[in-house]
Amino acid sequence: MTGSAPTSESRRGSTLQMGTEVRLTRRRFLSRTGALCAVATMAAPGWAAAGAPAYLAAARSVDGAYRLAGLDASGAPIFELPLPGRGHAAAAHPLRPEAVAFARRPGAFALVIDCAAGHETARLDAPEGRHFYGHGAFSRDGAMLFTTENAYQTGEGRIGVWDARDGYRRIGEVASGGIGPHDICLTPDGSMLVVANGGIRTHPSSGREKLNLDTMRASLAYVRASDGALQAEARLPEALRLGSIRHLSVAPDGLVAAAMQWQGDPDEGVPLLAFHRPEWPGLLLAEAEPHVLARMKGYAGSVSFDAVGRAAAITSPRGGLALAWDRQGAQIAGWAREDVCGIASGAGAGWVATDGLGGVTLLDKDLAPIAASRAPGAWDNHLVGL
Amino acid sequence: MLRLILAAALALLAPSARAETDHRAVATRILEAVILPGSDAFADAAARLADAAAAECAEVDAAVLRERFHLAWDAWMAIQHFRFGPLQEGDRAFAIAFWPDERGATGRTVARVLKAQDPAVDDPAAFAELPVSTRGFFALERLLWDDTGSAAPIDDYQCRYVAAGAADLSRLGAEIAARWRDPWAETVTTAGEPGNVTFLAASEVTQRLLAVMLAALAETRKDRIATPLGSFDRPRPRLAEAWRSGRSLRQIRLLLEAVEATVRRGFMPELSPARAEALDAAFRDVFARLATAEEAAPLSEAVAGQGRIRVEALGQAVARLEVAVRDGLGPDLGITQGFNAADGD
Repeated sequence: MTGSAPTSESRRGSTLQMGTEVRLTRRRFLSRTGALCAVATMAAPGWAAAGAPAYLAAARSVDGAYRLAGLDASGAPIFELPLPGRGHAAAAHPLRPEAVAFARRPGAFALVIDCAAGHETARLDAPEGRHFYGHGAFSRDGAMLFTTENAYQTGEGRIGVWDARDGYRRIGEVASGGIGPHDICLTPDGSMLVVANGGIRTHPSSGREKLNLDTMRASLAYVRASDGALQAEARLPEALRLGSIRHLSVAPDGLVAAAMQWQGDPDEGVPLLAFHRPEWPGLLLAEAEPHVLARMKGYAGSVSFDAVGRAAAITSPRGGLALAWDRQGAQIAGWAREDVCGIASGAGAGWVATDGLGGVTLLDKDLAPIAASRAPGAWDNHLVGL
Repeated sequence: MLRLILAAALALLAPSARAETDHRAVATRILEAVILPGSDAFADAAARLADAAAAECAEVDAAVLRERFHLAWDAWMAIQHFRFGPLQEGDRAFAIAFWPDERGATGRTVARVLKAQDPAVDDPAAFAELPVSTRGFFALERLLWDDTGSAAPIDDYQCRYVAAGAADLSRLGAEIAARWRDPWAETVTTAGEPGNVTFLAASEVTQRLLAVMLAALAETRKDRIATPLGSFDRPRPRLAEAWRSGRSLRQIRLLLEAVEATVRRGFMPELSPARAEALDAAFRDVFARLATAEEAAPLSEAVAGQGRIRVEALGQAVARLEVAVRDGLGPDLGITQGFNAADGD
């Protein structure tokens, strides 16, 4: 049955009780893909001081307060630190137990949190005329942090560069290669930044209102990390012009998975995932039958390869569904779960997903649930692998 | 027993406070009163359709065949809104009823099978691998009725195609009934227990049931009503659901009755009297509007004629029912809108 979405909801396994036991596990999975993005930053000895979390995620507690949590490989919480407002994504320093937590866009600041000491150590303020989009990525050596930003007077996308060795001093910025840069990753060798330019212009004076849907055109841009030179870019075909590329994952071999949010009719059933390499002329669209894609309601919230880069999964909180495709673009699996949004690679060839009901579910290579737990509160958009 | 007495005493002390929703009871009632008997009824009706279709083609009683086709589809409408578990595994719901079909795939792919005289119709395993748009009720409807909505004569190949489609429906019906019994009955009634990795709290089943009902109502308002209404200058009668077999309004009635049964059997016992009365009123309203529309004409005629205003009024009543179900059930049952679904980033 081509293109069908086999769902594998009903699988019984061991339920992991969250919150009952703080596990300071040292278990690490060497090939874990990381930071919403990519390839292992190898063992990060510094993170042992923070309990060696495998993941970071923003959350809203039952009392309405926002927090940044560290989770172990089974999804159990290791630490929870307060955030001043709703978070979006976080970037984890590759060596130090340090997370940069971004406010939900259009946020003007990001907090650097020492996850071992449990307090804020620095604060990134967007320069005049800029705001953050909620994502950032560290250079491989941890010396620099790159942040996606909106130069909102002109609408140009920018990448801010911050010196992580010197108190996160801003040391420059380069063009993102498009409008509305959202997620940002590094290529496995660290030489290029991969940027999801969503294509949608916004201005803080009109909140999150979309100002250019009639002309929008997203791009996937590859920007040289050393000097900001645009190395390659890819765009969606004209028929998918209303696809806004927002989130990224990079496989160990450099294959990029890009997830879209469709600005047209949510019932249309268009592809929301594409694969790409910088040397490819175009995007490889992850196709499925339209009625299957329509269940995603035109919205992919997160994307992640599995640890080995065999397949990539996207989540739709609006459709309550995750779907996975192999790297050749063949749909392989589906899993229904209310308000599912965060997803990252798990141990072996599976994933870990978080949702707005407080659930953390370990999924196998076919997106079948293996184990799950539910904490009070809600997990926010992204689950960031370390 | 002591607990019961305590609960009764507390209820007396605080007459306005509602007891905590018993989510497991909601799931159990809906499973036992709606899902399981409904799935058995669909499996039986589909088997009877297959019996009528599988006879030697020369001996097929076309009237009986079409009657059983209608009864099987009626039975499907009683459970098709439970779009999770058995209905989503293997894409079963779409294999049974490929709709909405915005790209017109059914007509195109059924014509392709006919033109090629695809031998898959003589091999159940091969037939089950055909695209979902060539199977199920909508494909069979194309074979049994023509494009004027009249009963179509069936040649030998079409007869074998109908038999294959009916047998496929019967297989799917049996699978669905079996899968609801094992493992899904346990999955929905053990929500929140250790070992259940699908529903991590008892309330999650309630939330899923509410979500699938709201999706069915929204689909009815949009695809069953607004789409054929089109605009005043350009109604789209041929986009009405199942217009060839004259079922468009019947589909709406059956869907509304299925949602009503789900709400009344499953949810009503958990609701405060005020909420229950508001929901009651919304159902009375929508069925009154439906009766008015049914008096006018078949939906595909009404949208382009005098009955149009009655169809519009029905659509508005469905919209009101959606609000009544969402606001009437959600807060009382402790269900809120998705944290991430509402975010948009």
